Amino acid sequence: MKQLELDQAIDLVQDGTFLGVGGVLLKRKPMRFLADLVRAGRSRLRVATFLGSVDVELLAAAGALDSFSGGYVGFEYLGFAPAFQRAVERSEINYREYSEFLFMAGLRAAAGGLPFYPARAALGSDLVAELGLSVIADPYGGCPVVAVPPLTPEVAVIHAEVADTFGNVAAPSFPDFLVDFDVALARAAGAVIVTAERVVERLDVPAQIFGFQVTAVVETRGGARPSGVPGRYPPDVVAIRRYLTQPNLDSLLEAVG
Amino acid sequence: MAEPYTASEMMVVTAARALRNDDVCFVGIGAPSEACNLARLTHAPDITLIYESGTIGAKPEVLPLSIGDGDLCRTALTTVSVPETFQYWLQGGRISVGFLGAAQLDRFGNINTTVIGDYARPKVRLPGGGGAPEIATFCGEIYVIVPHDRRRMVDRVDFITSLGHGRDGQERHRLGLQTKGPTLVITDLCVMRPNPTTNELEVVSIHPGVTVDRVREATGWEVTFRPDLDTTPPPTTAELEVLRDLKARTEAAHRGGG
Repeated sequence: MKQLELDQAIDLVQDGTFLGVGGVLLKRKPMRFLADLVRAGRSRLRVATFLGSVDVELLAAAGALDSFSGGYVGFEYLGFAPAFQRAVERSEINYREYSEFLFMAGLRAAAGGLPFYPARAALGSDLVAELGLSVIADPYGGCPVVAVPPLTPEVAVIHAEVADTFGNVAAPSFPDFLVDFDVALARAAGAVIVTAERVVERLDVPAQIFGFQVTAVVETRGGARPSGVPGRYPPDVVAIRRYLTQPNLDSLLEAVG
Repeated sequence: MAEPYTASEMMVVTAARALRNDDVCFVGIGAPSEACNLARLTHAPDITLIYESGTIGAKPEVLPLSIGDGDLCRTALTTVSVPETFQYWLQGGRISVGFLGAAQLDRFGNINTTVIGDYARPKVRLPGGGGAPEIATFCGEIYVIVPHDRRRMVDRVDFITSLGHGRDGQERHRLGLQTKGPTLVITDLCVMRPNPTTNELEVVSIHPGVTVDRVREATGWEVTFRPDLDTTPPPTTAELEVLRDLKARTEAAHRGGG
Protein backbone atom coordinates (compact mmCIF):
# COMPACT_ATOMS: atom_id res chain seq x y z
CA MET A 1 0.00 0.00 0.00
CA LYS A 2 1.47 3.28 -1.14
CA GLN A 3 -1.63 5.43 -0.72
CA LEU A 4 -1.21 8.44 1.57
CA GLU A 5 -3.14 11.55 2.45
CA LEU A 6 -1.90 14.75 0.84
CA ASP A 7 -0.43 16.19 4.07
CA GLN A 8 1.55 12.99 4.64
CA ALA A 9 3.01 13.19 1.13
CA ILE A 10 3.88 16.86 1.63
CA ASP A 11 6.16 15.78 4.50
CA LEU A 12 8.37 13.98 1.96
CA VAL A 13 9.50 17.38 0.66
CA GLN A 14 11.71 19.50 2.94
CA ASP A 15 13.01 23.05 2.71
CA GLY A 16 15.71 23.03 0.05
CA THR A 17 14.67 19.74 -1.60
CA PHE A 18 15.61 19.31 -5.26
CA LEU A 19 12.12 18.70 -6.63
CA GLY A 20 11.29 17.46 -10.12
CA VAL A 21 7.85 18.60 -11.26
CA GLY A 22 5.95 16.59 -13.87
CA GLY A 23 3.64 17.85 -16.59
CA VAL A 24 4.45 20.12 -19.50
CA LEU A 25 3.33 23.75 -19.94
CA LEU A 26 -0.37 23.83 -19.00
CA LYS A 27 -0.89 20.08 -18.87
CA ARG A 28 -0.75 17.63 -15.95
CA LYS A 29 0.93 19.99 -13.48
CA PRO A 30 0.58 18.66 -9.89
CA MET A 31 -0.88 21.98 -8.73
CA ARG A 32 -2.77 20.82 -5.63
CA PHE A 33 0.44 19.29 -4.27
CA LEU A 34 2.46 22.44 -5.01
CA ALA A 35 -0.21 24.70 -3.49
CA ASP A 36 -0.11 22.64 -0.28
CA LEU A 37 3.70 22.85 -0.24
CA VAL A 38 3.30 26.64 -0.35
CA ARG A 39 0.66 26.58 2.42
CA ALA A 40 2.96 24.38 4.51
CA GLY A 41 5.60 27.09 4.19
CA ARG A 42 8.26 25.13 2.31
CA SER A 43 11.09 27.36 1.11
CA ARG A 44 14.36 27.42 -0.86
CA LEU A 45 13.07 24.69 -3.15
CA ARG A 46 15.22 23.80 -6.12
CA VAL A 47 12.89 22.84 -8.92
CA ALA A 48 13.42 21.13 -12.26
CA THR A 49 10.83 20.75 -14.97
CA PHE A 50 10.98 20.46 -18.74
CA LEU A 51 8.73 23.42 -19.61
CA GLY A 52 7.22 25.35 -16.71
CA SER A 53 4.15 27.54 -16.45
CA VAL A 54 1.71 27.99 -13.56
CA ASP A 55 3.66 25.48 -11.42
CA VAL A 56 6.88 27.48 -11.36
CA GLU A 57 4.98 30.77 -11.24
CA LEU A 58 3.10 29.67 -8.11
CA LEU A 59 6.31 28.72 -6.27
CA ALA A 60 7.99 31.95 -7.41
CA ALA A 61 5.02 34.09 -6.33
CA ALA A 62 5.16 32.42 -2.90
CA GLY A 63 8.89 33.10 -2.57
CA ALA A 64 9.47 29.36 -2.18
CA LEU A 65 11.90 28.96 -5.07
CA ASP A 66 15.68 29.08 -4.83
CA SER A 67 16.58 27.84 -8.30
CA PHE A 68 14.90 26.59 -11.42
CA SER A 69 16.30 24.17 -14.01
CA GLY A 70 14.44 23.80 -17.27
CA GLY A 71 13.88 25.08 -20.77
CA TYR A 72 11.08 27.62 -20.45
CA VAL A 73 8.80 29.31 -17.94
CA GLY A 74 5.85 31.18 -19.35
CA PHE A 75 2.37 30.94 -20.79
CA GLU A 76 3.13 30.97 -24.55
CA TYR A 77 0.46 33.14 -26.25
CA LEU A 78 -0.92 34.26 -22.86
CA GLY A 79 2.32 35.94 -21.84
CA PHE A 80 5.33 35.77 -19.52
CA ALA A 81 5.35 34.47 -15.94
CA PRO A 82 5.41 37.77 -14.01
CA ALA A 83 6.51 36.74 -10.49
CA PHE A 84 9.11 34.33 -11.81
CA GLN A 85 10.49 36.83 -14.29
CA ARG A 86 10.79 39.60 -11.68
CA ALA A 87 12.50 37.31 -9.16
CA VAL A 88 15.05 36.15 -11.74
CA GLU A 89 15.74 39.76 -12.78
CA ARG A 90 16.42 40.55 -9.10
CA SER A 91 18.68 37.49 -8.84
CA GLU A 92 16.40 36.03 -6.16
CA ILE A 93 15.95 32.90 -8.22
CA ASN A 94 18.80 31.26 -10.11
CA TYR A 95 17.42 30.24 -13.52
CA ARG A 96 19.57 27.41 -14.81
CA GLU A 97 18.29 27.43 -18.37
CA TYR A 98 18.59 24.12 -20.19
CA SER A 99 17.68 23.50 -23.80
CA GLU A 100 15.04 20.78 -24.05
CA PHE A 101 17.47 18.16 -25.27
CA LEU A 102 20.14 19.04 -22.68
CA PHE A 103 17.46 18.57 -20.01
CA MET A 104 16.41 15.18 -21.41
CA ALA A 105 20.07 14.17 -21.66
CA GLY A 106 20.50 14.96 -17.94
CA LEU A 107 17.49 12.80 -17.06
CA ARG A 108 18.80 9.99 -19.26
CA ALA A 109 22.20 10.09 -17.56
CA ALA A 110 20.43 9.88 -14.18
CA ALA A 111 18.08 7.09 -15.25
CA GLY A 112 20.83 5.08 -16.94
CA GLY A 113 23.46 5.31 -14.20
CA LEU A 114 25.88 7.18 -16.47
CA PRO A 115 28.41 9.87 -15.43
CA PHE A 116 27.18 11.92 -18.37
CA TYR A 117 25.10 11.59 -21.50
CA PRO A 118 26.64 12.78 -24.76
CA ALA A 119 24.56 15.23 -26.75
CA ARG A 120 25.33 17.48 -29.65
CA ALA A 121 22.30 19.54 -28.72
CA ALA A 122 22.90 23.22 -28.16
CA LEU A 123 26.50 23.13 -29.41
CA GLY A 124 27.53 26.76 -29.84
CA SER A 125 24.85 28.02 -27.44
CA ASP A 126 25.98 30.16 -24.48
CA LEU A 127 23.72 27.96 -22.32
CA VAL A 128 26.37 25.25 -22.35
CA ALA A 129 28.92 27.47 -20.57
CA GLU A 130 26.35 29.02 -18.19
CA LEU A 131 25.35 25.53 -17.06
CA GLY A 132 29.02 24.66 -16.58
CA LEU A 133 28.80 21.73 -18.98
CA SER A 134 31.95 20.25 -20.48
CA VAL A 135 32.31 20.00 -24.23
CA ILE A 136 34.54 17.03 -24.97
CA ALA A 137 36.25 15.67 -28.04
CA ASP A 138 34.68 12.75 -29.85
CA PRO A 139 37.16 9.90 -29.17
CA TYR A 140 36.46 8.66 -32.71
CA GLY A 141 37.27 11.96 -34.39
CA GLY A 142 33.90 13.59 -35.18
CA CYS A 143 32.63 16.96 -33.96
CA PRO A 144 32.68 17.56 -30.19
CA VAL A 145 29.89 16.53 -27.82
CA VAL A 146 28.39 18.13 -24.74
CA ALA A 147 28.82 15.85 -21.70
CA VAL A 148 25.61 16.37 -19.73
CA PRO A 149 25.85 15.17 -16.11
CA PRO A 150 22.93 13.43 -14.35
CA LEU A 151 19.95 15.56 -13.41
CA THR A 152 18.71 13.72 -10.33
CA PRO A 153 15.81 15.31 -8.44
CA GLU A 154 15.62 14.02 -4.86
CA VAL A 155 11.85 13.84 -5.21
CA ALA A 156 9.67 13.95 -8.32
CA VAL A 157 5.97 14.78 -8.15
CA ILE A 158 3.76 13.94 -11.12
CA HIS A 159 0.03 14.11 -11.72
CA ALA A 160 -1.68 11.17 -13.44
CA GLU A 161 -5.20 10.20 -14.46
CA VAL A 162 -5.34 6.83 -12.78
CA ALA A 163 -3.01 5.05 -10.37
CA ASP A 164 -3.52 2.14 -8.01
CA THR A 165 -2.88 1.69 -4.32
CA PHE A 166 0.38 -0.14 -5.12
CA GLY A 167 1.73 2.92 -6.95
CA ASN A 168 1.29 1.66 -10.51
CA VAL A 169 0.41 4.51 -12.85
CA ALA A 170 -1.74 3.96 -15.94
CA ALA A 171 -0.65 5.27 -19.32
CA PRO A 172 -2.71 8.36 -20.27
CA SER A 173 -5.96 7.65 -22.09
CA PHE A 174 -5.45 10.48 -24.55
CA PRO A 175 -2.46 10.20 -26.96
CA ASP A 176 -1.17 13.56 -25.86
CA PHE A 177 2.17 15.20 -26.50
CA LEU A 178 5.22 14.84 -24.26
CA VAL A 179 3.53 12.29 -22.00
CA ASP A 180 6.81 10.46 -21.79
CA PHE A 181 8.39 13.37 -19.91
CA ASP A 182 6.71 12.28 -16.66
CA VAL A 183 8.02 8.74 -17.15
CA ALA A 184 11.56 9.99 -17.83
CA LEU A 185 11.40 12.20 -14.74
CA ALA A 186 10.12 9.38 -12.55
CA ARG A 187 13.01 7.16 -13.67
CA ALA A 188 15.61 9.83 -12.91
CA ALA A 189 14.38 10.87 -9.47
CA GLY A 190 15.32 9.46 -6.06
CA ALA A 191 11.70 9.22 -4.89
CA VAL A 192 8.40 9.59 -6.74
CA ILE A 193 5.13 11.02 -5.48
CA VAL A 194 2.10 10.49 -7.71
CA THR A 195 -1.06 12.52 -7.38
CA ALA A 196 -3.90 11.05 -9.42
CA GLU A 197 -7.42 11.96 -10.45
CA ARG A 198 -8.46 8.52 -9.29
CA VAL A 199 -6.76 5.86 -7.19
CA VAL A 200 -8.12 2.34 -7.78
CA GLU A 201 -7.31 -0.76 -5.80
CA ARG A 202 -5.52 -2.49 -8.67
CA LEU A 203 -4.95 -1.26 -12.27
CA ASP A 204 -6.51 -3.34 -15.03
CA VAL A 205 -4.82 -1.39 -17.82
CA PRO A 206 -1.11 -1.24 -18.76
CA ALA A 207 1.08 0.78 -16.41
CA GLN A 208 3.85 3.16 -17.47
CA ILE A 209 5.28 3.88 -14.02
CA PHE A 210 5.51 0.92 -11.69
CA GLY A 211 4.75 0.58 -8.00
CA PHE A 212 8.27 -0.32 -6.99
CA GLN A 213 9.47 3.06 -8.31
CA VAL A 214 6.82 5.02 -6.44
CA THR A 215 6.98 6.23 -2.85
CA ALA A 216 3.50 7.62 -2.38
CA VAL A 217 0.17 7.86 -4.20
CA VAL A 218 -2.42 10.50 -3.34
CA GLU A 219 -5.88 10.90 -4.81
CA THR A 220 -6.44 14.54 -5.81
CA ARG A 221 -9.46 15.05 -8.06
CA GLY A 222 -8.93 18.08 -10.23
CA GLY A 223 -5.43 18.15 -8.75
CA ALA A 224 -3.90 19.66 -11.88
CA ARG A 225 -6.14 22.75 -12.00
CA PRO A 226 -5.71 25.40 -13.27
CA SER A 227 -3.58 23.35 -15.68
CA GLY A 228 -5.44 20.64 -17.59
CA VAL A 229 -5.47 16.87 -17.93
CA PRO A 230 -5.96 15.88 -21.61
CA GLY A 231 -9.12 13.87 -22.07
CA ARG A 232 -10.48 15.00 -18.65
CA TYR A 233 -10.42 18.77 -18.35
CA PRO A 234 -8.81 21.63 -20.26
CA PRO A 235 -6.56 24.28 -18.70
CA ASP A 236 -8.56 27.01 -16.95
CA VAL A 237 -7.48 29.76 -19.33
CA VAL A 238 -9.94 32.23 -17.82
CA ALA A 239 -8.41 31.91 -14.35
CA ILE A 240 -4.90 32.10 -15.77
CA ARG A 241 -5.71 35.21 -17.80
CA ARG A 242 -7.23 36.77 -14.67
CA TYR A 243 -4.07 36.06 -12.72
CA LEU A 244 -1.82 37.41 -15.48
CA THR A 245 -3.86 40.63 -15.65
CA GLN A 246 -3.51 41.17 -11.90
CA PRO A 247 -0.83 38.88 -10.50
CA ASN A 248 -1.44 38.00 -6.89
CA LEU A 249 -0.58 34.86 -4.93
CA ASP A 250 -4.01 34.45 -3.33
CA SER A 251 -5.86 34.51 -6.65
CA LEU A 252 -3.43 31.92 -8.00
CA LEU A 253 -3.97 29.67 -4.96
CA GLU A 254 -7.71 30.08 -5.42
CA ALA A 255 -7.46 28.92 -9.03
CA VAL A 256 -6.03 25.62 -7.80
CA GLY A 257 -8.82 23.06 -7.56
CA MET B 1 -5.04 45.58 -59.28
CA ALA B 2 -3.33 43.78 -56.40
CA GLU B 3 -5.15 43.47 -53.11
CA PRO B 4 -3.92 45.58 -50.17
CA TYR B 5 -2.05 43.56 -47.52
CA THR B 6 -0.30 44.11 -44.19
CA ALA B 7 3.45 43.99 -43.47
CA SER B 8 2.87 40.87 -41.42
CA GLU B 9 1.06 39.15 -44.31
CA MET B 10 3.92 40.07 -46.60
CA MET B 11 6.36 38.47 -44.16
CA VAL B 12 4.36 35.25 -43.73
CA VAL B 13 3.70 34.80 -47.47
CA THR B 14 7.38 35.35 -48.29
CA ALA B 15 8.37 32.78 -45.69
CA ALA B 16 5.82 30.26 -46.97
CA ARG B 17 7.20 30.55 -50.51
CA ALA B 18 10.64 29.49 -49.34
CA LEU B 19 9.34 26.05 -48.33
CA ARG B 20 9.37 23.10 -50.73
CA ASN B 21 6.88 20.31 -51.10
CA ASP B 22 9.42 17.68 -50.00
CA ASP B 23 10.66 19.58 -46.94
CA VAL B 24 10.56 18.06 -43.48
CA CYS B 25 10.07 21.13 -41.39
CA PHE B 26 10.44 21.78 -37.65
CA VAL B 27 7.85 24.41 -36.82
CA GLY B 28 7.67 27.00 -34.04
CA ILE B 29 4.41 28.54 -32.81
CA GLY B 30 3.35 31.94 -34.18
CA ALA B 31 4.53 33.38 -37.50
CA PRO B 32 6.60 30.26 -38.39
CA SER B 33 3.50 28.10 -37.93
CA GLU B 34 1.42 30.48 -40.09
CA ALA B 35 4.00 30.31 -42.87
CA CYS B 36 4.36 26.52 -42.77
CA ASN B 37 0.62 25.91 -42.85
CA LEU B 38 0.16 28.46 -45.62
CA ALA B 39 2.77 26.56 -47.64
CA ARG B 40 0.95 23.29 -46.91
CA LEU B 41 -2.37 24.77 -48.04
CA THR B 42 -0.91 26.24 -51.26
CA HIS B 43 2.16 25.00 -53.16
CA ALA B 44 3.51 22.37 -50.73
CA PRO B 45 0.64 19.99 -49.86
CA ASP B 46 3.01 17.10 -49.04
CA ILE B 47 5.29 19.02 -46.67
CA THR B 48 5.94 17.21 -43.37
CA LEU B 49 5.40 19.48 -40.39
CA ILE B 50 6.91 18.47 -37.06
CA TYR B 51 6.12 20.46 -33.93
CA GLU B 52 8.27 20.47 -30.81
CA SER B 53 5.65 18.37 -29.07
CA GLY B 54 6.68 15.40 -31.23
CA THR B 55 3.77 15.47 -33.66
CA ILE B 56 4.93 14.07 -36.99
CA GLY B 57 3.08 15.19 -40.12
CA ALA B 58 0.66 17.52 -38.32
CA LYS B 59 -2.08 19.01 -40.51
CA PRO B 60 -3.86 21.35 -38.11
CA GLU B 61 -7.23 22.69 -39.26
CA VAL B 62 -6.56 25.88 -37.35
CA LEU B 63 -3.30 27.41 -36.14
CA PRO B 64 -2.19 26.10 -32.75
CA LEU B 65 -1.81 28.58 -29.87
CA SER B 66 0.43 26.22 -27.92
CA ILE B 67 2.86 23.46 -28.88
CA GLY B 68 0.49 21.29 -26.83
CA ASP B 69 -2.70 22.00 -28.80
CA GLY B 70 -4.75 18.83 -29.11
CA ASP B 71 -5.35 19.54 -32.81
CA LEU B 72 -1.67 18.87 -33.53
CA CYS B 73 -1.84 15.37 -32.00
CA ARG B 74 -5.23 14.60 -33.57
CA THR B 75 -4.16 15.49 -37.12
CA ALA B 76 -0.63 14.04 -36.99
CA LEU B 77 0.48 10.63 -38.23
CA THR B 78 1.67 10.01 -34.70
CA THR B 79 3.15 11.73 -31.66
CA VAL B 80 6.61 10.49 -30.75
CA SER B 81 8.50 10.70 -27.47
CA VAL B 82 10.80 13.57 -26.55
CA PRO B 83 14.03 11.56 -26.97
CA GLU B 84 12.85 10.37 -30.39
CA THR B 85 12.09 13.92 -31.48
CA PHE B 86 15.51 15.15 -30.46
CA GLN B 87 17.76 12.18 -31.05
CA TYR B 88 16.31 10.54 -34.13
CA TRP B 89 14.65 13.43 -35.93
CA LEU B 90 16.81 16.40 -35.00
CA GLN B 91 20.25 15.15 -33.99
CA GLY B 92 19.93 12.36 -36.54
CA GLY B 93 19.78 14.97 -39.29
CA ARG B 94 16.32 14.11 -40.61
CA ILE B 95 14.84 17.62 -40.66
CA SER B 96 15.52 19.76 -43.71
CA VAL B 97 14.31 23.14 -42.44
CA GLY B 98 13.84 24.63 -38.97
CA PHE B 99 11.77 27.77 -38.60
CA LEU B 100 12.57 30.04 -35.66
CA GLY B 101 11.58 33.43 -34.28
CA ALA B 102 13.86 35.66 -32.20
CA ALA B 103 13.76 38.29 -29.47
CA GLN B 104 17.14 39.46 -30.79
CA LEU B 105 18.90 38.47 -34.01
CA ASP B 106 22.41 39.67 -34.85
CA ARG B 107 24.42 40.27 -38.01
CA PHE B 108 25.67 36.67 -37.99
CA GLY B 109 22.22 35.18 -37.49
CA ASN B 110 22.70 34.30 -33.80
CA ILE B 111 19.44 34.14 -31.87
CA ASN B 112 18.75 35.34 -28.34
CA THR B 113 15.59 34.25 -26.52
CA THR B 114 17.13 34.11 -23.03
CA VAL B 115 18.00 37.52 -21.51
CA ILE B 116 18.29 41.17 -22.42
CA GLY B 117 21.40 42.30 -20.56
CA ASP B 118 23.60 40.15 -18.34
CA TYR B 119 22.72 36.46 -17.80
CA ALA B 120 23.01 36.55 -13.97
CA ARG B 121 21.45 40.02 -13.55
CA PRO B 122 19.24 40.44 -16.60
CA LYS B 123 17.48 43.66 -17.50
CA VAL B 124 14.71 41.51 -18.96
CA ARG B 125 14.43 37.78 -18.32
CA LEU B 126 12.75 36.11 -21.30
CA PRO B 127 10.87 32.80 -20.81
CA GLY B 128 13.68 30.65 -22.25
CA GLY B 129 14.66 28.99 -25.50
CA GLY B 130 12.84 25.64 -25.17
CA GLY B 131 14.11 23.43 -27.98
CA ALA B 132 15.44 26.23 -30.18
CA PRO B 133 19.16 25.61 -29.42
CA GLU B 134 19.08 22.10 -30.88
CA ILE B 135 16.78 23.09 -33.72
CA ALA B 136 19.36 25.72 -34.68
CA THR B 137 22.22 23.24 -34.47
CA PHE B 138 20.66 20.28 -36.28
CA CYS B 139 18.13 21.25 -38.92
CA GLY B 140 19.61 21.19 -42.43
CA GLU B 141 19.05 24.93 -42.61
CA ILE B 142 17.28 27.58 -40.54
CA TYR B 143 14.78 30.20 -41.65
CA VAL B 144 14.20 33.03 -39.20
CA ILE B 145 11.07 35.18 -39.13
CA VAL B 146 11.46 38.38 -37.15
CA PRO B 147 9.84 41.84 -37.11
CA HIS B 148 12.44 44.36 -38.24
CA ASP B 149 13.43 47.05 -35.75
CA ARG B 150 16.58 48.19 -33.94
CA ARG B 151 15.63 46.51 -30.70
CA ARG B 152 15.57 43.12 -32.39
CA MET B 153 18.03 43.42 -35.26
CA VAL B 154 21.21 44.05 -33.29
CA ASP B 155 24.92 44.11 -34.04
CA ARG B 156 25.65 41.53 -31.36
CA VAL B 157 23.10 39.55 -29.35
CA ASP B 158 23.40 39.83 -25.55
CA PHE B 159 23.33 36.03 -25.30
CA ILE B 160 23.53 33.25 -27.89
CA THR B 161 20.61 30.97 -27.07
CA SER B 162 20.65 29.37 -30.50
CA LEU B 163 23.74 29.33 -32.66
CA GLY B 164 23.64 31.15 -35.98
CA HIS B 165 27.08 31.54 -37.47
CA GLY B 166 28.74 32.49 -34.15
CA ARG B 167 30.41 35.67 -32.88
CA ASP B 168 32.70 35.96 -35.91
CA GLY B 169 30.58 34.16 -38.51
CA GLN B 170 32.79 31.03 -38.59
CA GLU B 171 31.74 29.10 -35.47
CA ARG B 172 29.83 26.34 -37.26
CA HIS B 173 32.88 25.50 -39.31
CA ARG B 174 35.06 25.42 -36.17
CA LEU B 175 32.65 23.05 -34.42
CA GLY B 176 32.57 20.78 -37.45
CA LEU B 177 28.80 21.08 -37.87
CA GLN B 178 27.52 19.80 -41.20
CA THR B 179 24.28 21.82 -41.09
CA LYS B 180 24.03 25.24 -42.73
CA GLY B 181 22.53 27.37 -39.95
CA PRO B 182 20.48 30.45 -40.85
CA THR B 183 20.31 30.73 -44.64
CA LEU B 184 17.26 32.97 -44.85
CA VAL B 185 15.89 35.76 -42.68
CA ILE B 186 12.46 37.14 -43.47
CA THR B 187 11.37 40.37 -41.80
CA ASP B 188 8.43 42.67 -42.37
CA LEU B 189 10.74 44.95 -44.40
CA CYS B 190 13.04 42.70 -46.39
CA VAL B 191 14.67 39.34 -47.04
CA MET B 192 18.25 38.67 -45.92
CA ARG B 193 20.78 35.94 -46.62
CA PRO B 194 24.27 35.38 -45.23
CA ASN B 195 27.26 36.48 -47.29
CA PRO B 196 28.79 33.30 -48.79
CA THR B 197 32.22 34.10 -47.29
CA THR B 198 31.69 36.12 -44.10
CA ASN B 199 28.20 34.83 -43.20
CA GLU B 200 27.11 38.37 -42.36
CA LEU B 201 23.42 38.87 -43.16
CA GLU B 202 22.85 40.99 -46.28
CA VAL B 203 19.66 42.33 -47.79
CA VAL B 204 18.75 40.45 -50.97
CA SER B 205 15.28 41.91 -51.54
CA ILE B 206 13.13 44.68 -50.14
CA HIS B 207 9.38 44.41 -49.80
CA PRO B 208 7.29 46.66 -52.07
CA GLY B 209 6.99 50.22 -50.77
CA VAL B 210 9.95 49.87 -48.33
CA THR B 211 12.99 52.07 -48.89
CA VAL B 212 16.66 51.23 -48.47
CA ASP B 213 16.89 54.01 -45.87
CA ARG B 214 14.08 52.54 -43.83
CA VAL B 215 15.84 49.14 -43.70
CA ARG B 216 19.10 50.86 -42.77
CA GLU B 217 17.45 52.79 -39.94
CA ALA B 218 15.76 49.69 -38.56
CA THR B 219 18.96 47.60 -38.52
CA GLY B 220 21.45 47.71 -35.63
CA TRP B 221 24.52 47.31 -37.81
CA GLU B 222 25.92 48.88 -40.99
CA VAL B 223 23.82 46.65 -43.22
CA THR B 224 24.94 45.66 -46.72
CA PHE B 225 22.57 45.56 -49.69
CA ARG B 226 23.38 43.09 -52.46
CA PRO B 227 24.25 44.76 -55.77
CA ASP B 228 21.46 42.82 -57.49
CA LEU B 229 18.95 43.98 -54.86
CA ASP B 230 15.44 42.92 -55.80
CA THR B 231 11.91 43.83 -54.85
CA THR B 232 10.16 40.96 -53.06
CA PRO B 233 7.13 39.87 -55.11
CA PRO B 234 3.95 40.93 -53.28
CA PRO B 235 1.44 38.33 -52.05
CA THR B 236 -1.00 37.07 -54.68
CA THR B 237 -4.74 37.26 -54.17
CA ALA B 238 -4.84 33.48 -53.85
CA GLU B 239 -2.17 33.42 -51.12
CA LEU B 240 -3.91 36.17 -49.19
CA GLU B 241 -7.24 34.36 -49.41
CA VAL B 242 -5.82 31.14 -48.00
CA LEU B 243 -3.93 32.94 -45.23
CA ARG B 244 -6.90 35.08 -44.19
CA ASP B 245 -9.21 32.11 -44.26
CA LEU B 246 -6.80 30.15 -42.04
CA LYS B 247 -6.57 33.03 -39.57
CA ALA B 248 -10.34 33.56 -39.51
CA ARG B 249 -10.87 29.83 -38.81
CA THR B 250 -8.25 30.02 -36.08
CA GLU B 251 -9.87 32.99 -34.41
CA ALA B 252 -13.32 31.40 -34.52
CA ALA B 253 -12.00 28.14 -33.05
CA HIS B 254 -10.10 29.75 -30.19
CA ARG B 255 -12.74 32.36 -29.33
CA GLY B 256 -13.92 32.22 -25.75
CA GLY B 257 -10.73 31.40 -23.92
CA GLY B 258 -9.25 28.49 -25.91
